[in-house]
Amino acid sequence: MKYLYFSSRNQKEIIRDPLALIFGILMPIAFILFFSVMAKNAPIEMFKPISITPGLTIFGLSFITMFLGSLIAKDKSTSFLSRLFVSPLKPKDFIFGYILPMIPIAFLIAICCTLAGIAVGVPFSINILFVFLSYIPYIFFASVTGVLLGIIFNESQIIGFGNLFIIGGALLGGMWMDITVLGGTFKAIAVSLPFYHAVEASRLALSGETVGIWQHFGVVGIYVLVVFMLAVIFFNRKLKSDDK
Amino acid sequence: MHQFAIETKNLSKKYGDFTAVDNVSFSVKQGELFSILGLNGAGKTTIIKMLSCLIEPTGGDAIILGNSILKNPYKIKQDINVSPQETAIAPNLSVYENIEMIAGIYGFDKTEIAEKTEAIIKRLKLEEVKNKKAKKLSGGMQRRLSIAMALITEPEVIFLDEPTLGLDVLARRELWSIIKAVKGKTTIILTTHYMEESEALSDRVAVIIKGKVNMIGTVDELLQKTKTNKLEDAFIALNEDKQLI
Repeated sequence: MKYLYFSSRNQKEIIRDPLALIFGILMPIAFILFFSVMAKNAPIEMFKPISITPGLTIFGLSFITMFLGSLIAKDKSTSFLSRLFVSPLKPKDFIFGYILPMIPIAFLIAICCTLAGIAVGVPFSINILFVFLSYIPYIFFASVTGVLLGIIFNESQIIGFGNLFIIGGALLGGMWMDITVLGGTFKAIAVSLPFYHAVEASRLALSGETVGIWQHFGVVGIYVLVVFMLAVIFFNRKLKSDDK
Repeated sequence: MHQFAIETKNLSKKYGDFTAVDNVSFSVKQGELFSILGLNGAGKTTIIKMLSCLIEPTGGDAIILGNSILKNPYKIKQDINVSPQETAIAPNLSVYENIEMIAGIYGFDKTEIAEKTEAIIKRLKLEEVKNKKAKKLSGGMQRRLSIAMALITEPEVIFLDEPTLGLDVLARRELWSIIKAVKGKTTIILTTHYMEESEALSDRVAVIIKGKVNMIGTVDELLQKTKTNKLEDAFIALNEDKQLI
């Protein structure tokens, strides 16, 4: 349980430097409000609160990757991580220590987005609880991806790759548009990535449908496992590397 | 109880064709303060990094408290600590939280953490700033905190890599007194560019030139062998003329 102390530090570091966190919460909320206004003027199914809210919540959760990647990249640039590498913490302690504090932050983002969604018309029902559960696989995916990017890239690179993850994930995940408009190849790419499946699973959960939901969870789950293993491999390499 | 806290055996580190540390062998007794002196790039920090299990040697081995750095690094890690060359603190955490975090990571229980954290804060005179964020401390206070984070785990061996670098004379003297108080109970490996610091604190000194141990001994022994009166002169003589040994 040594990683709990490390995890607590990581949470404090993110919360006490709250600009990025505030941005990560306010941006999807602003988008939910914006699309709800558009939905009133244009009868597009995708812009309706029940469709757009889960998509934009997943968009907000993608910011976790940026928070975590930036924190790890910053730690790497100072001797602080060297001090911890001398400690008895093992690679799994580091990875859990970084991921764990993201869970309450992720639920904070999800709660804020859901409240915004309810305010613009998402019906308040038991499905809200199911949609929260449906976010869990993506929260882990965004977190382990943040760890992986943070280990690989430096502070300035992480801004570029973090934005690519957020924007690329939004476009290919169909967070505010139908991916069929992307055409054959791009649609095939989108379907092979976890973003679309995370969005679809949360939309199904919010509408109370369960058919096909497990298939979407399965795809996101496979990505979580693969990226987690990559993060462990790269963390081990960093621990053994001479570059520290 | 081991006869030596540290024994290095032909410890080497190569980066491609460049040899940073070349067959370094020395022993350090329990409770001894052992200084490693050398010019920039001599290999001091590389030795510290290998001994603290941060990087692996490309040749040789070191036995720390009876365990090999190659075979049992995690056994060693529990009993050592380090104050790196750059100040290694969590900037957004308070002084108390920084120290508490390290104690928790090393596996102390909640009661022990609270007691030890308060004690080390008192011992290192950090009471006035204990609730202040680490990033808002002066350079001297940050160094002091960095050393407190190394001492809180009550390590048997502590590595201090240029602990007083960039500090003013008062802050340096204060840190000397902290190091002196620890000496004897804890084995200390110190690297420094300040000869007077090494002279004031060390039981024995190793002079490293281009990755090799050039001379090991007490300050008096080094002065005798180099026929000088000050450690700084001895160090210059050794670096200018390796034929003296």
